[in-house]
Amino acid sequence: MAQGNVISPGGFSTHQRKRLIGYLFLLPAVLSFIYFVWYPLVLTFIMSLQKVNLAGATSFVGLSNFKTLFADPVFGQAWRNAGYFTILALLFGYLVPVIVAVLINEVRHGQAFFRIAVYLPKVAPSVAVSILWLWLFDPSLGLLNTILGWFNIPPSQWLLSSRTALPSLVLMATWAGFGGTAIIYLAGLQGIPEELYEAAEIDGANIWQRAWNITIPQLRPVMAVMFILQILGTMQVFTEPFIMTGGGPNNATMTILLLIYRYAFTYMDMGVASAASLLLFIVLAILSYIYFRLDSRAEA
Amino acid sequence: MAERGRTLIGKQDLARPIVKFGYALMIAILLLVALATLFPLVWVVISSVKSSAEIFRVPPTIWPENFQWGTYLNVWSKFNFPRYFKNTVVLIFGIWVVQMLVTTLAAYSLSKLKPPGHKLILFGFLAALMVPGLAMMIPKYVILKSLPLFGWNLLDSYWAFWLPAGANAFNILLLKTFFDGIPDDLVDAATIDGASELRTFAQIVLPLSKPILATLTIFIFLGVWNNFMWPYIVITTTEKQPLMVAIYNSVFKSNVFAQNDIMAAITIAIIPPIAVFFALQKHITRGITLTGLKG
Repeated sequence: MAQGNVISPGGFSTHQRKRLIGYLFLLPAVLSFIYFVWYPLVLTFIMSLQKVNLAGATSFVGLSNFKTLFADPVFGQAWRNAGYFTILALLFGYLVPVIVAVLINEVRHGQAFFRIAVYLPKVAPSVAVSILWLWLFDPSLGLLNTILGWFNIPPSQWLLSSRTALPSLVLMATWAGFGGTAIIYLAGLQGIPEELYEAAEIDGANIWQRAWNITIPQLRPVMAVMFILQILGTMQVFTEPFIMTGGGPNNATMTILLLIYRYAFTYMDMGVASAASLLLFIVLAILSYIYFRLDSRAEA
Repeated sequence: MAERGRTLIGKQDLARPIVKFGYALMIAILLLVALATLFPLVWVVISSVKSSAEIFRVPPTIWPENFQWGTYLNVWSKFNFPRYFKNTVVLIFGIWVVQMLVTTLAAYSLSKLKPPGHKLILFGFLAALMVPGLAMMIPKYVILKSLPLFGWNLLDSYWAFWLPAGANAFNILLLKTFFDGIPDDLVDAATIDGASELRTFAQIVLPLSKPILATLTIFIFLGVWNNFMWPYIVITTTEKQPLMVAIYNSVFKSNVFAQNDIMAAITIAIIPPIAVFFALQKHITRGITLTGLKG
């Protein structure tokens, strides 16, 4: 029986062996990260300062890519859209999952059904969801204007007007996403100790007081995390406008990723695309940092 | 959930008429919410079985006048579903193998073997969580076009997905947290009995980790099945494209297919993820709870 620092067949002590194996087990992951995470980060920084021509030759151009970017009015618009999208998404969708989760948690029967029903859109592929909603939004053939008609509400142009296009996308995103968030809140709700409610009831607190003084405070850490997570998500919207609007009409649904994609693969300008990616990285990294800070508190 | 715990509204509350009314209202709201989430999905199926004339009627008919299931045969014969199903499955399988192998080994090392410097390495992994997903597409594209030190062009090949699959900080974190919960004594006892680290890992730790591995497997399946943007950019040869990219390119964007055909194609593409969801719901709910709070 090998115990302590006995020499094993390879000529190593068990201690050394364990250390060596430890590194060996980590090696594939470290290589993967070097190639596909760490180096890409460095590369983004380098490429943002370079001009890459069609032959692949590179030359250092200083900050000229950033200048191009800031001179492009669409870049500013993409950030404003991101901000507008975020505000709308929070307005439409931030409280919906909380409320739905609380309601589902209170239901005595059919809880499983409601859980599945709200989560199902999240399982559907985003391509399918985009094509489906393009069909629902169609001003003449679509279901949405028909439903509005039942209530004598005038039809909307939805994605076809620059005024309503972005709110329409937010509506769709809310439909697709709120169920997943509701399930997370549901888990949070089920973690609230029963004694809290019982004690409050004995103290004579009514349902509203209990909701306000127990349920909401208990959910608050998760709500903070979800707040940041939702902003992080809206910063990276891509597939839906790509398929549904191409960023139009009049760049009303242009997102940052869509613009990066356009610079890289339509204008073939990897330098400017990298400069835009770098700026997006910085914003995302700050948001993620806040998220992890909140998350570690939410778990504590 | 076996036993229903005490929640906001208690038994005594429900005895009061006003609360009873409120409870009925809650159920009504939830039913409306469920209708709003489910109906668009049902609408895809309804639209798919309408005739080409009926589908363009204004206003749309809510229930099809006659069910034209032939649309499905039509789409199936004109669009090579088996090929694209196969492409997606091959893609998923490769990603699964690489990701499982690389991330479980790394997480095990970080959790149990802890070689010097493991904290720094863990930090390096976690830092990756700060810059999520598609924001990396440009540098990743450049790297895949000519892999540094090797010069291989991996674009338009599944290796562009398989090779990077191990760089998943999130899975490593999840697995490490799970392995941390396995008592060190168990691992040490096996080592003392002369089992190698690899055997301890494969025969003791992995079998204990089945629940988390199942959850990760489902998430890989759903994630890759539903993924669009990255495969759209990377896989340019039509015959190699995974299903969702092919549906966008060859069904949605082509002029060959009518609206009801498109809806039928989407229905077929949605079925596998929804089937997996129903079959493995328990794992998924646990996964959401785990992942939701961690990234």
